Amino acid sequence: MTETVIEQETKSGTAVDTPWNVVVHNDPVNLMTYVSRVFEKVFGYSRERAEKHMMEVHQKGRSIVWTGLRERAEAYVEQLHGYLLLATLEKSQ
Amino acid sequence: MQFSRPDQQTVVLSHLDPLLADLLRSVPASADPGDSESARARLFSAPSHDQEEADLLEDWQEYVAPELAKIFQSSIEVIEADLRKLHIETKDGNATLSIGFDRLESWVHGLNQARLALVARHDFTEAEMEEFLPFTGGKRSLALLQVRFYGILQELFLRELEGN
Repeated sequence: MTETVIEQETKSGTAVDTPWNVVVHNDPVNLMTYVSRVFEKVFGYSRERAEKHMMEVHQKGRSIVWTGLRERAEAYVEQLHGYLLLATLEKSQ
Repeated sequence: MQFSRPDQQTVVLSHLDPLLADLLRSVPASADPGDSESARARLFSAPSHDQEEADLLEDWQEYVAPELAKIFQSSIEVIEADLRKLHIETKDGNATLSIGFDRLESWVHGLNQARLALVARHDFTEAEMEEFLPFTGGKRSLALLQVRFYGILQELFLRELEGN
């Protein structure tokens, strides 16, 4: 199972926000090497970790690439769309 | 076509026959979704599949999509500028294109955009993209050739960027 980073930050000093997932969906057009490179650039992941997520997208159709606060999740989705990956945000279960 | 790296700052595509040179010149037009709804939908995809996120989808269209359009356009402008320097050899009509290494990221992005827009516009299936089909003429066959050629260039440029 692919490892994901869960970032927890406090709001107003005490309350912890609901975590949100950044999900990348499979797209048969985007090249595998391109997708890995985007994960490295956007999240600063190691080559190994980026490839692990890329393979998960390729084989399972989706991968949760990041989990954390909503605002940052939105910003990551925007960045991923800038690289033309199919990315969405969803509430973490 | 030949690919070379004469120095650290430059990559060169040479011996491009007239067809490949034309395909290269077509990158900016192919990357433009134009009036194709499916191409536009692919380039500006939704940030959520949740029906309850109507506000997010609305804001996304209003504020994020225009910013994304600027990012996409900036890559295409780099490609257009490089293509203006496409050199045609008088002896055989083949073309040569030199690209600065610092411009390869824009090329990778623009080629990707063109491939995505073409596949969406022509509704190619995964099987069509994987199967080797000879060029038979016609818009659809030409578009499939473009998708393949641009994919090869993307791989070459990515390999250079990765230092392999």
